[in-house]
Amino acid sequence: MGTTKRTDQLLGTLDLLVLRVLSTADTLHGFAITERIHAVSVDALRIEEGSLYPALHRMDEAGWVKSEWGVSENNRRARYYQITNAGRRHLAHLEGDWAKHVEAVKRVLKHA
Amino acid sequence: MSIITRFVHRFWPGRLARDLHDEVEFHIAMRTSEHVKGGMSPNDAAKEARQQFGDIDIVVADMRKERLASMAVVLAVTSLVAVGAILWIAQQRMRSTDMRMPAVRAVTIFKDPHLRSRSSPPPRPRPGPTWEEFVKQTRAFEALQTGPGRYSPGRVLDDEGRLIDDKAKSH
Repeated sequence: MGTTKRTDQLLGTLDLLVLRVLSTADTLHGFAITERIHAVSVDALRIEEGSLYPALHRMDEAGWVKSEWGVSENNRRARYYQITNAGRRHLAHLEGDWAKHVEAVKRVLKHA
Repeated sequence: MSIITRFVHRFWPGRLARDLHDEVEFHIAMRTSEHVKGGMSPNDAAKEARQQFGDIDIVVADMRKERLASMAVVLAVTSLVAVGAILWIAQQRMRSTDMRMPAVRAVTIFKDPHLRSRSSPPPRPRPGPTWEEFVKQTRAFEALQTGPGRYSPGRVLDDEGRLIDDKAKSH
């Protein structure tokens, strides 16, 4: 139940989180992206693993990330993702939207 | 993902399905090893990892849908560019010959004012002189030959063989 609540909070923010994590690294595979989000949020956010990969492929098709096959640290074939310049521009746009959203919620909580 | 890989996936669906399954299986294997490090048995770890991931077939179907949806747009744009390129090449090759296809010829005529004028109907011939004009011109010619001034090609001379203009000057 607790996990469901946490993933529900992420609706609409998956692209923002994934692009932000990719912007701080060279290349990452999907599993590393989930672990990075989990670690940085100190266990507060855990993305639904099944929804991560369709989102990654959608962002790849949109040109916000690019992907290529490589060999992982345990010698397995893995697809690595890297943010593109278009992805960085989209990330800036998403971060602006998120800041406005948070500010609006704060105002409602304070003054309503 | 390169454009070549996209076309391979479009026309070789088995390759796309294998790539998507490989990616998901890698994730599950990594999660399984994390659970094993945490103290679970390999079997329980694998079971837990798959349960945690969700329905693999649904996830793979969603991934496949994302790939092929945008591929349809890529194919449509590529087809339009290809048709445009073929028409342009055909127009360039037929410009030097008279065998133009009607559609291509229409485009050519529209863009080229010279060809547009060539395609217009030929000008109507000027009508000849009326009978009255003909008689008048003939009488004027006869007067030049028989009158005080004789007709010579390019010059009009008097009876003594001098130019009428020179004669006018001498008077």
